[in-house]
Formats: sequence, C-alpha cells, structure tokens
Amino acid sequence: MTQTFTVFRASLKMLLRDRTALFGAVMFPLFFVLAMSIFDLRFERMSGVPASDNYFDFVLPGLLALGVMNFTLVGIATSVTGLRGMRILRRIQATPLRPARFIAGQIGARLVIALGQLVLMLALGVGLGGAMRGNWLVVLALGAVGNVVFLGFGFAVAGRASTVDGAANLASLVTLPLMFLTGLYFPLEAMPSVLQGAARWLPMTALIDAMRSVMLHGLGLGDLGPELALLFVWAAIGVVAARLSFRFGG
Amino acid sequence: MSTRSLTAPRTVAVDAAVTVDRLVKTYPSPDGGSFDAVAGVSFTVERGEIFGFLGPNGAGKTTTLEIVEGLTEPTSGSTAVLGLDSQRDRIALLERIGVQLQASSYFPHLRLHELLDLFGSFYAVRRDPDDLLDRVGLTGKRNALLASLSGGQAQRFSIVAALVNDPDVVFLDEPTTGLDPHARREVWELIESINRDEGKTIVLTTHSMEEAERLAGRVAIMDEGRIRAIDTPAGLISRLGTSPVIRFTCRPELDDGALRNLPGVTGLDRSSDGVVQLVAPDPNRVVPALFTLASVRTVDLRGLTVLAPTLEDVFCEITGNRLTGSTARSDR
Repeated sequence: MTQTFTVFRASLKMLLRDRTALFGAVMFPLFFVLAMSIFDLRFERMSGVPASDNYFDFVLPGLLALGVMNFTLVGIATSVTGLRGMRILRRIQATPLRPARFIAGQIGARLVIALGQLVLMLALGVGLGGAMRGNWLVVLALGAVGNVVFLGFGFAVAGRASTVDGAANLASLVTLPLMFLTGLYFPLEAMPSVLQGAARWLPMTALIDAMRSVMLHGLGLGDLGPELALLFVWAAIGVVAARLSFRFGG
Repeated sequence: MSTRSLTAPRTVAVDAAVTVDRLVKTYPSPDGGSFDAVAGVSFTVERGEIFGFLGPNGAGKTTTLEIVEGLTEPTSGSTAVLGLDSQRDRIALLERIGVQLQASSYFPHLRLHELLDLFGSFYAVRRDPDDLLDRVGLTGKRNALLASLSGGQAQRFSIVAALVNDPDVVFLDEPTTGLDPHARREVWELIESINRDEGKTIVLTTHSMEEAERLAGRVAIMDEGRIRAIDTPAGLISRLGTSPVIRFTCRPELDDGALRNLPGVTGLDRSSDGVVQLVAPDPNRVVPALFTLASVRTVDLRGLTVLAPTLEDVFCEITGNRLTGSTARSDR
C-alpha cells in the first residue's frame, strides 16, 4: 500500500511539473467547450433532451467525457511508452516493486488531475450557459469511474506499443470510435439501428448518457443503475487488460 | 560422512555471491535463424570481490548480467545470487542486489532526493537519500533534476541509486562509458570504496582494459557469447607468455654483442630510428647491468622505459584471433 502511495505521489509531482503537457491537457478541453458554446444550434429530433435546451446543452456532457478520455487514455499510453523507451521502466523492473502497484499509483495520479480538469470544464461550461440541473459531485463520481476505464485501456495500449508515436496512433484507434459512435456530438438515434445496438455497449456511451441524465435531468447516482453497471464491467475489463498487457521491459 | 559430502556443494552455492551454470540465451536473428547471445557460460563470483566482464560490444556481457538480475529469462542453464535463483526467487533476489543499467535513466521531472526516496520505497531495507547523496558528493544537488547534472555526476548518481536498498551484490553495466578521464577516475574511486569500505561484492562490465586491470580482482574475457579466459589480471597476463620489454635510445650506439651479453636478455630488436628494445623476462636483472655497461662506456641512455604486457595484449590476442576467423566466415 505504501509503495502504491509513493508511486502515486511521485507520479502526481511529475504530472504537475511537466508544464507543457499539463497546459495542453487542461487547455484543449477548455477550448472545445468554448468553441462549442459559440454556436446557437437546435435539433428537431433530440430524444431525452428538454425542449428548451440547445445544442450546447446537449454536447457539454459529452465534451466532459471526451476531455476525461483524451487526457487519460492517450496521456497514459504515450507517457508509459515513453518511460519504457527511456528504459526507466526497465530500471524499475530491477526493483521488487510489483507491476500492479506501479499501475495503481499511476492511475491514481492521473485521476486527480483528470478530476481537476473536469471541474474546470464544468465551471466553464456552466459559465457559458450550459445546463447543469444535477449534483456536481455526481458528475465527478461518473468522471472518476470513466477515468478508471480509460486508464486501463491506456495501459493496455502502452503494453502493445513500442514507440511513443505508435502509442499515440494506437490510442487514436481506440478513441476515434468512442468519439463518433457514442452520441457525443450527435444523438445516437440518428445513426443506423445496427450501429446504435453496438454503440449501447460501449463505455463512452454509458458515460455520456449518465452525464446527460445528471446535467439535463438532474438525476442522481441511484437512477443510473444500468449505465453504472456497464461502466463497472468496463472498468474491470480495463484494469485486467492493463495488468495482462503491461510490461516494464521490452 | 555421506551426509557431509551431500551438503557440501549446497554450502558452496550459498557462500558464493553469484553462480552461473551453463547459461544459454538464444535470440531469433533477422534472417529467420537464431543466434546465441550467450552460448554456455559458467562462472562463480565470490563474496567481497570485484569481478569484471571484459569484452567487445555484443559479446553477451549485458545479456548475462540481465539474466542474473532476473530481468531476462534464460533459454537454458541457471543463475543464482546469494543462493537465490534468478527466476524462481526473483523478488527475494531483487531485495538484495543493486543494479545500474546501461543507458537507462530516471524520471526526468523528479529531484535527486525524490528519486532516491521513491526507489528506496520499493525495498524492505532502505538507506537515507541524503546520506547516499553525501556519499557521492551530490549533497549540493539534492534538489536538482537529472538533466542538469554533468556526465560524471549523473553516473555517480546512477551508481548510488543502486545502493538505496543497501544491497549485498552490486551490478554495474559499463559504469564509465562516455566519461572524461577525470570523471572516470572519480567513478573508479567510488566503486573501489563501495567494495572496500562497505564490503559489497561488485560485478561490472567494461570494454576498457585499463578499468578492468585497475578495479577487478578477477576478470572474465567474454567474446561471441563465451568466456574465453577467466583469471586475475596478472594471471591472464602471465598466461599470455609475453615478456616485458626494455626500450631506450643511446649516444653513442652500444653494439649488439654487448647488449646480448647482458644477464637476462633473451632478445634484441633495433628500429631504424635508433630505438633499442631488449626482451627481458626479469627486467630487474637487466636494468642495473645496462646502467653499469652505459657508465663504463660513457654512453648516454635516453627515454628508458620498461613495458610490461597489459590486459590489452591479452584482450587483443583473444579477440584478434576471433576477428580474422569471422572475416573468413563472412567471405564464404
């Protein structure tokens, strides 16, 4: 436990000190929120969205999920691959530290930053007029669960890639479908029904649906049973995949 | 009686710092075949010694070390440190060894004392980061990042980082490669002091003959995945069978007959620029007689040097043969 904590503390320091990476991770999602707020759009057919809401209200919960996913999945995949490239992981492999503790410490540190980022995005979104009818803490809790899913995926990608560029490409292969096949930008109902059926099982869909239910309809965690169940299953898959494919050396 | 003879080999294995038995590591090669990076290596490192692996790049030194450290799986054979098997007892073994890897690095955004603190936390036994930094004269750099250190400082840090768990056996992979002569000397003194003052067994690889001769109590010369010779530096040199040479110039010239008649001279060579070389298995007999001869004939001796054969000669003898062999093979 103490080893997980020392890895967590060291990883958090590293994330906070890598100013350019941190700046990018914080600024890009904020820019997305800002850019989307400019357009005054309204769709005819947006099931489950209150009639008074416009496109920004609809898309903001998705942007929060997107910010979480990009920072965690792409961030962890490239940074862990980079550490391996510099043979830093090889050096850790020569110590008795167990891989699971290294993974847990890294996930914890990224989680802290990602939740801070989520608060900033939510604050900006609400400040720009986005709907927020639920509890902020519920949104954060959802963000945390989503984070664990995507961090697990990120580690799995890092386990497969041998270079940082390779890791970035492989991570995009995972994030792109999650961006466009999940009703993030446009309602799921507007997609062919076959794709809709598949999209229902993706973790990003569950995360976005849950966030929308909280932010547009003011639901609480107790109302989100199916979405949470699916997210927990994906979190378990992600953590197992991380542990199985992760390697210090190579 | 029979019990004692059964337990005796095991006692030896526990007492030894490192045992390597018929180690083989085979990698697939790009042409679809395979090559032996390590081709059947056996040796023992006793506790308290500095053991040097000397060999050209690609000789299999690093692979051997990484298998012993439990970082790479062997194809066959077994390795153990302090009686702990590198594969089976990996975690227990890692608690008791310190490792400095070739060309590895540390987290770029952590300060030196934070790095030592972090790595120390991975072990059951840990030493104080500030004591460690003091040990290598880096106290003033405790809050510095690795990137701001000079090559010598970074290398001293990577060696002291291998001591965070107060290990019994320390593995150093090319600890002085790329350092300037001054920094190299500092690292040598550090390694000697870790061995002498802290009683730690040290296993190091190098391709510097000078380094092996200066540091190592015993040297294994490794080439093409095999150990070609293993002995003390002096033992390796005497095995070569080459005698020391006394070299000088003189005004006026001394005649060959007089020089050959000096006691202990077994050969003579004269180069076109007037340099005389006397082959002398025991230079202590020849040098006084040479001085006497020179003063009797009022000859001025200049630039007198006694050249003892070095580990470099041994190394060239062994790897030189190999080089011609491999050229012949690739010609085919």
